[in-house]
Amino acid sequence: MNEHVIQTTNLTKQYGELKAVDNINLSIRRGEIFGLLGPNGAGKSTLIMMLTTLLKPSGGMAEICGYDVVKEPNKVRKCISAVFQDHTSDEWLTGWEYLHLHAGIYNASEARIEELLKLFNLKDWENTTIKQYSSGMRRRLEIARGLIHCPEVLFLDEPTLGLDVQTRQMIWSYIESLNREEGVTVFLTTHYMEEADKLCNRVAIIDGGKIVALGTSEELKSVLDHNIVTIKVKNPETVMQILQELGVESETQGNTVQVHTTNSGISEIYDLVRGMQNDDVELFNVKKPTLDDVFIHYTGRDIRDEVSEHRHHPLMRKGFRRGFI
Amino acid sequence: MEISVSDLRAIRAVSYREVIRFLRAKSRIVSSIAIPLIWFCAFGLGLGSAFGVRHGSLEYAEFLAPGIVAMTALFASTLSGISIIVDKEFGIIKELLIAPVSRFSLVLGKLMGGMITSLLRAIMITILFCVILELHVGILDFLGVLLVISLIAIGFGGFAIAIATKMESLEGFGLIVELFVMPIFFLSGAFFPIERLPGWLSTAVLLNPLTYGVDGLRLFMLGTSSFSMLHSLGVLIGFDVAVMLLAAYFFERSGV
Repeated sequence: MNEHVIQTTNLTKQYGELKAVDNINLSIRRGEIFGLLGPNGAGKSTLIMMLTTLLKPSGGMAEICGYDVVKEPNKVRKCISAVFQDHTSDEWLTGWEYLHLHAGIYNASEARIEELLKLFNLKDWENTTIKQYSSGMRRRLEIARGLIHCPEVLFLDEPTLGLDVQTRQMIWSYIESLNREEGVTVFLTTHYMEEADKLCNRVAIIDGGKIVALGTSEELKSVLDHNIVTIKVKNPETVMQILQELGVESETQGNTVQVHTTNSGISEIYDLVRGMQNDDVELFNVKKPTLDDVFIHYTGRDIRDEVSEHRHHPLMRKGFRRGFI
Repeated sequence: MEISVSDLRAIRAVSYREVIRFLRAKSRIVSSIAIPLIWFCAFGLGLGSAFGVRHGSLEYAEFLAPGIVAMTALFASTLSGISIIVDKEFGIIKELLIAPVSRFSLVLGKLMGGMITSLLRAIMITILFCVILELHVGILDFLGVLLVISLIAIGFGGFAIAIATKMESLEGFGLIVELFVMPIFFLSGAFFPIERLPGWLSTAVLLNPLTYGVDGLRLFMLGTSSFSMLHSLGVLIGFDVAVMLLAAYFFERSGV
């Protein structure tokens, strides 16, 4: 069996002048949880649509489980599944009917439905219409639906968008356990840093249709050799002085000294602080770069700007300014 | 065009879903009986007795009844189109499109579902008319009624699906449907005998597939008709095949 379950070569989707997906090359290993991180409109959904055979690429190729998405779409469809960004479950049906319907299409057994209802803790709700489900329950049911035929690859497009923090963490633990227990390769898109950081084995940052960075989240962070060390001491002046002798620039604010330094610089400062009297130091804190910082480094902007821009309609902002709201 | 076992499963699953949706929406069941009854009372009983209209030995209400049954099937069949647009709007259709089944089987599933719900509605209406008008429809004739209703539902359901694949919004679809459905209904001979119409109107009526549906229903329900049974059924079957191919073609091409 091929070790790479997803393989794209110069995959491109062009709408007129706009390249929504621009020459993307990706190899995703069996059993990975792979995250595609990017702002709205970066090309995440377009890429997923092409990989799930719903959209024809305008250039390049993609293979899933060794099958070409354009030439052998039905073979690809047999080994994949996808859960989409919006809720796509039919709210008139009950949870059981919904799974039963899809089990019918894929020829899955009743036992599989039971198994999934239990795995996702939905057994108590199987006879309730989906209309009455909460967002988190609906998402769990949709992921369960995606697993009905034991796919090799599961695509999740923004699986936790709009869910509250607790529900989001619960969905993560479900994704982790199905990856562990069923060996499903998971390909997910997200614009939540935390999701990419905590859940994914490897992360790709996509911007303007291009992959601008790829690696484990640790690897991505290590690219930024920039840490902020905060030291809180009784006499900041002494520390400042020693730092100046070392040739390190620092800022003070009250009792707190802040130093910007490289990875190797941290131990130097740490040694310095250790040399001081114990009761002098109240706090020693190193802030390593976050995935947010990595994102800003590669795309030149903060992902949260994009998100809040989307949330506030221009008219609403006008309202804010005039003091209507 | 090959149909595999998995396609048959998809047809069954998709049509099963349409039927459940119909049965869950109580308002739909109520309106599916109320609307034909309102038409029947206003025109058949109201207009018919006020002006003393008769057709041969038939009272106007009797003459109109098969037309109203045909209308029920026609209106119900447009729901297949609405159901596709709703599926598109909410992205539900993507769940079906990533399944390893042919696009044609999804169209057939929608059509089958639409046919079953049309049959459910039309059966209710037909039985109601039989009671109100004291019609005596034998078993074979009743099966004939069901056959004609199915043919109407498939033909116009396919037509609605073909249009729906091209439409983005429910509003737009509603407008297009009104544009087609009302003329199709009025020009079907549901309201008047088609023998003594002026030339242009007669042409329009003869080109309208629903005319043959109404005529077939009249034959099975009342024993009187303008065309022979084979003529009506032949035209309807021809229409159905043409429309199904058209719907499958559009559905295949729509990226969704």
